[in-house]
Parts: sequence; C-alpha cells; structure tokens
Amino acid sequence: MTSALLGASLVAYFAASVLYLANLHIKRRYLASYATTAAVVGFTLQTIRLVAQILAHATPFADAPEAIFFLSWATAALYLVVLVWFRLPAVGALAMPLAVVALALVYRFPPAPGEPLASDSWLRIHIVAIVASFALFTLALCCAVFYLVQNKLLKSKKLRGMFRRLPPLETVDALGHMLAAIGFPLLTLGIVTGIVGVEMAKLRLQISSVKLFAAGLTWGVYAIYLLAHSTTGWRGKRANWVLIVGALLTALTTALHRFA
Amino acid sequence: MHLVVVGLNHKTAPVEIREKLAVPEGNLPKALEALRACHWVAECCILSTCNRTEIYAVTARHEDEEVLIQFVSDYHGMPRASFQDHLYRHRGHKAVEHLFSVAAGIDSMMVGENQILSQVKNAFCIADESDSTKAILNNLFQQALSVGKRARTETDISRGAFSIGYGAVELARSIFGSLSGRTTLVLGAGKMGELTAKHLARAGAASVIVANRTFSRAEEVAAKLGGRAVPFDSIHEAMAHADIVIGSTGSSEPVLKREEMAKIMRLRHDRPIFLIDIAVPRDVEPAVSELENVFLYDIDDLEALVQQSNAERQKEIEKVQEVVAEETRKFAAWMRTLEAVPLIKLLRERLDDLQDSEWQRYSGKLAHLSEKDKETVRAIMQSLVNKITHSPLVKIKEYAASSNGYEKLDVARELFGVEVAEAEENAEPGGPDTSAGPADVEDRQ
Repeated sequence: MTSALLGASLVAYFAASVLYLANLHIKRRYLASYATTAAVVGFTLQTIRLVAQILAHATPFADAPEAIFFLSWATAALYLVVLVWFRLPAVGALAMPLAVVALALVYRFPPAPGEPLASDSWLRIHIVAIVASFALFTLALCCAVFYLVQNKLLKSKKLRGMFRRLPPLETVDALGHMLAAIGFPLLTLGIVTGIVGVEMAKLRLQISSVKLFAAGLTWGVYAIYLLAHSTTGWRGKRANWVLIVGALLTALTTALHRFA
Repeated sequence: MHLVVVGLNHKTAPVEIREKLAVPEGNLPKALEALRACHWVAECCILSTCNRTEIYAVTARHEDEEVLIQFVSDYHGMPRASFQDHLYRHRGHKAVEHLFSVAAGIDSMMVGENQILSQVKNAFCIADESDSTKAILNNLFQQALSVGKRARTETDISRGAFSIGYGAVELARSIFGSLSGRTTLVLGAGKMGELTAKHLARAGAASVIVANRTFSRAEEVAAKLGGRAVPFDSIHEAMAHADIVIGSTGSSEPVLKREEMAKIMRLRHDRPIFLIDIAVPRDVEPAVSELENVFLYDIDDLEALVQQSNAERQKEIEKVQEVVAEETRKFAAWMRTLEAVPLIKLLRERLDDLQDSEWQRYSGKLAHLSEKDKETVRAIMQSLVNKITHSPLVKIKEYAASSNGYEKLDVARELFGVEVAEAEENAEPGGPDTSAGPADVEDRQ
C-alpha cells in the first residue's frame, strides 16, 4: 500500500507542478486553485504514508529513501504554509517540481538492508533537524530564484507576461531571509547531533572529512548571510545568490552521505 | 413584453449632447417615476454617467422605444431632432448584449475600467428602490453585474495601467507588495507629481512628503495630499526614509546624481527604492538605475507601460465578447421561456372556454343520457382537446428554447389567434401563476 501512496502522491505533485508552471504563463480562471488542489491531495497521501511508516516501526526516516521522502513531505508542507500565509501561488511553480524531484529520488535508493542506521536517538534528531532545515533552505531557494527573475524584469523594464504573476520583490526577499533564519539553527542542531551521534557510535561509523568540510561550508555560508543581513541589512541580488549557493551546498552535503 | 434600450455614449455623441441628456443621480427617482407613467412601459432603469445615458425598459411592443425617445425629449425639454441622430436603439437580445458589454467594460472609453461596474450597480439600485424594475430588469441587471465580474476575473481586461498614475501603483506593488505604511516623497509642486502621489496614496502609500524650491508651494501641495513639506535642500535625508520618490521639478539639471544616490542607498541599508521620474528634462540621472535595489522609471517608461497595457487589454476584448455572448444566450433563453408561458396559459384557457360553450350548446340534446354517459362524453371531449393540443404545446416549449424561438412563437400566436397585447395584459412576467404554466402542460396529458 505504501508504494501505491508514494506513486499517487508523485503523480499529484507532478500535476501540481505542471499547473503551477502553466499558471505563470497563461491566465486561466482556477488554474492556480486546481494546482493547489493537486498539491493538497499529494500532501495528504504523503502524510498518510508518513503516519503509516511511523506506526509500523518506531524509527522513521532511518534510511536514505525515508529521509528523502521526509524531505519532499516537509518541502510540500512548508510550501502550503507559505501559500496560506503569504498567498504566493507563484512559489509553487518551483517548490512543487523540487518536491517531485525529491520524491522521485526515493525510487533511486533502495531501502538499506539490515539494522536501520538511525537507531540512535542522536542520529534520529540529526536526520529530522537536517531534513527540516533542508526543506526551509529549499523554499528560501525558490524565493531567491523568484527574486532574481523579478529583479531582472524590473531592472530591464520587461513588464510583459510573467511579470504580473510573479510575487512582489520585497515580499520574496523578506520571506527568503525568514526561511533561512529559521533553517539555520536547525542546521546547526543537525550538524552537532550528527557529530555527537557518530562519536557515540564510533565502532560502526566514521565521518568523512570531505563531508565534514561540506557541512561546515554550508553552515558558514548561511552564517555569513544571516550576519550580514542583521548587521548591515545586506539584501538584494547578491544576497539572494547566496541563498541559492547555500541550498546547492546543502544538497551536495546530503549527496555525500553514505547512509549504510 | 419586450426589452429595449435607447441611449447614447461617447462613441455616438459629442460631450455637448451627452451633458445635456445626462440625468444627475439625485434626479433619477423622479425621472424614473415620470418614465413609469408612460403608456406601455412596464419596467425601466436609467444608466447615466459622464460617458453615456441609456434607458433600459420593458415595454409592450418593440415600437414603444419611440415612447422612450419622446420621454427624453420631454424630460430635458429638447426637440427630438437635436439628439435623435446620436441615439442607438437595441431590442431583445441585442439590448441584453449591449448592457453586458457595458458592464464588462468593453464599451467604455477606457476599455476595462472598473468604475462602470459600480455605476451599473448604482443605476440598478436606484431603479429597484423606486420600484421601477420587476422580473426582467431585475434579472438582467443582476446578470450584467455578474458578467462584469466574470469578465474581470476570467480575462485580463481590467489588468494593467490605465494611466501614468496606475502604472506607478502597479510597479510599486510589484516591488513592495502591499503599499500600506509606505512613504512617498514628491519633488516639485507640479500637477502631475501631485496626481501620481494621489494615486499611490489611494493604493495605501498614505504618508506623503513634499519638497519644492518655493517652500510655500510645497506646503500647499502637502496640505492637499495630507502630507508634510520639507525644505528642498533636505531631500537627500528625506530619501533615506522614503520608499517611493516622484521627480517632477522644473529643474533643467538633474537633482539626483549617481554618487548622491549611492550615498543615500548606504544610509538606507540597501532597502529598495522606487524612483518615478516624470519631469522633463529628467530629475534623476539615468546612471542611477545602475545601482542595486534602485528601480528608476522615467516618463517614457511609464508611457510605454500604459500603452502596452492598453494593447494587452485590446487583445482581451475578444475573450470578453465570448463571455458576453455566452451570457447573452443564456439570458435570451430565459426570456423566451418567459414568453412561452403566457401564450400556453392563454391557449389553455381558450380551449377550456370552447369546451364549456360547446357543452352548453349540446347539453339540451344530450339530456336523455345518464350521468355516467354524460361524464363519458365530457371525458372524450377533454381527451380530444388534449390529444390535439399536445404536440403544439410541446412544440411551443421547444420553440421557446430554440435560437430563433422569438419568431416561431409569433407564428404560434398567429396560428392560434392569440394577440400579443392580449397576452401581455393577462400575464405578469415571472408572477406566481405563470410559473405554473409549462408544468401544467405535462400534468394534463
């Protein structure tokens, strides 16, 4: 049943992605609301599967596919929160395709055989914190991309087509910053619990220096971004590029993980 | 009953005529009262704006639109010849289509403007309050309002800038999102600057600062806009706080240079700023737009935006026309069923009368029959009438819903010798007993 739920939510997210992208380019009544309906359907199916997994065994998100599944769920959840609070369906045109990519990756990784990695509570916290921060950074990335596109359109005075359907510049700028600011402490928590967890389970695991370096770099990028923003009010084009680089680094660090 | 509209608008009449035929809102109830008093006028509504004056009415015959024209002439005390050539007259579904187009904004001087929708609503409310509308105009105007809303939500007909002021608001919104709590700084005390600031204030940017070389002029304009005046040499400090700056001075040299703007941006911690330069020669050095988070638009950019919006709205007219056509079809179908109802009712009454009179005529000759046999004879008569009229009545209902049903119903009236005027007098459109008509036909078979 869980694989059927997985497939169905993938289809729903894909439909939502197509509809949201279409909504940026053509004006049709209800297009955005159809897209949102598809997104909500996909999210509900995912939630059912997530709950089923949690009920089935006490350690969810234990292996790679489960963690990636959780990431796609968290991204969709965050997008829906952003939609309700800020009324920015345009963001869905990027957030939903990213949720689709994450969900499709679940198929790429077979479940790890044997004992789940994250049986230690430290590593469990590590995974949840990292995935949650990753979802926040993903949404921040969406905001940053929309900021850069809208900024370019406004600067070059190309005010046709998509321009009117994109979110206001300052709104996405502020939202991107807010998401990064929430994600950062979670990232910090995730890195710390990860290191402690590996130390505690030293017999079985070891941490690669490349991974540690990538994690440190990611952390540093967000730390500098947030520091510059809070001290000098740093914002605009370059600041939003940093949000994109940060999200890419997060993805890279995750890709360097070997779960088993 | 027939729906007609008689009127004139900015396309058919010059302003000298339009202003003479306009009916001020305060005079509308009296005018409607006078109109209702006219012979054959069952329902009426007057839509009078600065671009149009139109009388919508439900009358007994099509020709009664002459009554409306006479009314206009009498009411304004103007000879018919002085305005008749500027009038348009639409009947039936053409009248429906006309009002729907007006409400949708495609008949307006500024295509897609929103004001007309509230004007249509207002005209209807006044007519409704003075009991000048009944079933048909009530439904017509309510439909018109929903067509107006549909056109605006389903198409881009009312999107984009209608003028420089609108353009400024649209751009400001796409930079800042909500404009509430935003501050506008106006450089110069010209009319254009004031107008643009007013637009922005109406959109939420209510806090206004005015700077002008002659301080007293700045104070005057600031008073009008509900803002405050600052001396011209402190504009750089003011720009550190303002979000939107309107340049409209008469200065021959730019009042804002790139280096100055760079300094201001540092003071602003790079918060975005929207510079609207509507002055000619320009107030802001073009190189200023190279700075990050500075969005500089000059008068040509805004003009281009307005023209582009106009062109885009023109493209939307066709889509709106589709909506109007669809809704007109629906409304016309509704009206046709309304017209079949009195006809069927009348026909049925006539046949019942005929049965009764024939029975009276022959009852003497049938006196020898038993009560039971008499009942049988009556049942045969009734059954015969029902059988004969069954298919015509079904057909009338079908005609009523078909595209040229109007003419077909006229044929039916002729065939059965039922006069139009007679039908009008006997039937109150949409009244409780007529609504039972078509259902009746089914029941008796």
